[in-house]
Amino acid sequence: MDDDGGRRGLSMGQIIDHAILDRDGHRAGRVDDLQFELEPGRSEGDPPRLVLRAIVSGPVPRPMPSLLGGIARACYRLIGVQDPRPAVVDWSHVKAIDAFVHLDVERVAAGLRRVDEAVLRYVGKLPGAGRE
Amino acid sequence: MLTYSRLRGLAVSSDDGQPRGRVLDLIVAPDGEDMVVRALLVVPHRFALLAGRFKPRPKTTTIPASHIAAIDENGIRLRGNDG
Repeated sequence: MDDDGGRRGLSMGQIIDHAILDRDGHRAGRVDDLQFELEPGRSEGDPPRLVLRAIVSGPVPRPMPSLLGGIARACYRLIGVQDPRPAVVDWSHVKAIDAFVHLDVERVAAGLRRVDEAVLRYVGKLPGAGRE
Repeated sequence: MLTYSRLRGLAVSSDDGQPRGRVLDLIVAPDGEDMVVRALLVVPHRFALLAGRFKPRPKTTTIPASHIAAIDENGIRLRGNDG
């Protein structure tokens, strides 16, 4: 057992719910979950490695009970998100982490704006939405 | 693929089935090109897991990720019983 040596590193609990900024510095949602891949050890006898692969952000990012998940997906469809799935951004696009998680991709290209765009379309249809 | 939300709260047990606690958090660090889990922060029971959401520095045991033998839906199994 290692009492403190293993603590040197980045705590994943501190990344969850961090705001994401895209390459242009625009807000692109929050980190809702993280994906890991369990790789076998590099040689025989080596322990398996848990490798951080991606950030998950967007609608219904975590498995939900079928009824709740169904209601959540129906709500997203109501506002115009036809395929309510979260965006998965490869960890290689993460350039820095401070108060924000900085990406090197543009937020629309990464699929991080689908809900926002749907809400804007919905709000834009409301009477008086175009007025100053 | 394993997700953080799924790993958090998983039961940790030693090779002989002795329960060690539940995963509160994961610590990652660079390993070459990859970011690799270096340690599991484990709390002794489910209630401590809940308390960990509200306490800034909950009491945890750090288990090096090199002690992981296997991960499945039943939890994380460590090598040997000294994990």
